[in-house]
Amino acid sequence: MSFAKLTGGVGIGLRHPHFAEILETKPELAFLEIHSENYFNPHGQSRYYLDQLMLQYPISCHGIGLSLGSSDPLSASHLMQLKDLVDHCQPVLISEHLSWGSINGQFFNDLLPLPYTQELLNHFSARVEQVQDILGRQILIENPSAYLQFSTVEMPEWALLNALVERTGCGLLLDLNNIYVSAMNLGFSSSEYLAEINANAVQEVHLAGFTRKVLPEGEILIDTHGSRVSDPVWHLYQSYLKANPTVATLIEWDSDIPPLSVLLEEQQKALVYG
Amino acid sequence: MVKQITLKQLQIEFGAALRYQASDIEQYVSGGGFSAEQVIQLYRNNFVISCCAALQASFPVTHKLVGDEFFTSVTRQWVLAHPPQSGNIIDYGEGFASWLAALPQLASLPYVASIAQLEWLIEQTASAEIVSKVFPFADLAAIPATLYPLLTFHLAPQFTLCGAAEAIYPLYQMAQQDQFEAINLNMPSYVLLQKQPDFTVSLQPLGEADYQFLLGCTQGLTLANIAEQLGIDPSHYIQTYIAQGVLNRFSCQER
Repeated sequence: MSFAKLTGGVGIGLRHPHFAEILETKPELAFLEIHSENYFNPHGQSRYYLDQLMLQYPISCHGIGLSLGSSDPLSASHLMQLKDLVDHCQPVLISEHLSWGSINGQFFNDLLPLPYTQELLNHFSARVEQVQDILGRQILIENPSAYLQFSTVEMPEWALLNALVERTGCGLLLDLNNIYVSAMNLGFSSSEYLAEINANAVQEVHLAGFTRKVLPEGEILIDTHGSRVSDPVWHLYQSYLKANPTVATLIEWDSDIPPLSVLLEEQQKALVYG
Repeated sequence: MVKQITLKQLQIEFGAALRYQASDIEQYVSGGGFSAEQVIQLYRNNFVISCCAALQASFPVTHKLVGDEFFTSVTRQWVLAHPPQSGNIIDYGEGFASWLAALPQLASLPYVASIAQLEWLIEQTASAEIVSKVFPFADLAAIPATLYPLLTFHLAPQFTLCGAAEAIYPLYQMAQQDQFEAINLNMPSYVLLQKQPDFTVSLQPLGEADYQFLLGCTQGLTLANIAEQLGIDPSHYIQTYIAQGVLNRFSCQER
């Protein structure tokens, strides 16, 4: 079954502990977002549930392991498995991150920061085009959270993302929690980021939670995606949605997965803002 | 003036720093109000902790046997020495058991590495395809008897073998139930793993001859090879394991 393009609505990230409950209770959701890699194996339990859930919900494929920004060549095996999954479940959206996670064949299982330079823009644009060519469709690129910036930086993140859209025709996935975390850690303005980003390219927004880590020098925000959405991020969402009411929204929760009811409460809260 | 560095070199330096190796990355990093080392440590923690968590999910009984402190220590060492080789963390853990087997601290506890190997095979078996096609008896009947010694029988993909010099089958069962009792661990143990339709994996203990026969099949040995190398008549085992659905096809070297 294929679904039309998303126009607004709020979905949740599909996580293993909730498979059976979602299948059984069929909560009203605009879409389900999967971490693509967890569903690569056509014989795994995750795929078994996906095959049933994709008949009831639009699916969004959100990759976490392609390592688009790495200097290593993209993994042909990873790309082929992604293409197989995309062909299989015909997702309404496909997304990956403005990050890297591997070098010299070694992977770090993380979304590592990139230096926002012209060299990176050239490199990343080529990678996005490569993926879009293989998949035969547009992908969205998501902004990561950051705890540092590189001294070689030549442009702000939003400028790089806007240029990437111009060059490749990709879309954007804005993680408002990540913008807030990075802004607080690196000292830029979330509002300025949202004012500058090309809103026409943004097709999806992520909402998630963070934690605070206290170091002797002060407090740093850690992007755990393991708690409820914070008040400041709800405020950002409210303001962003006012200007962009048709964007799809995802409640994303990646660690310390709570009962499904908690995700649905957050989803309902996001709907109220819509 | 900002020192220039290529994207590739920056990633090499960053990757080295994540693994506590010599690196120049700090001179290219600004952490706001924090030192470069402090913020790099956050990324290092994400890398190490997430990979250790993946290993803990794949090796729960091994974790239980050695305790939290030791498991955390050895997984941390392994992650730093052997980072994942793909962008799919589900693939991570191959080689962990053999690495444990070589650790001097575990020299007197060889069953730990054998249990880790069993757990790795359980996870791989759970990901396998279930093929339940009927054995091609008609094709087999068409083979001239003179070619029987050249036949090789194959296991269906939902079956895997695990053998160890220690009593891993009873130990694994006890650990699963959290009910340990004194047993002689220095007894070899052979297990046939089978993926079930509900994605669990069942374990069936095997005798040594059965294990050797099935192992010979997985190694592509012909019936003549099996009879010669193992000193057994394979016909009994063929019937038994075709009947159980373990052997689901055959090939002939003449074809």
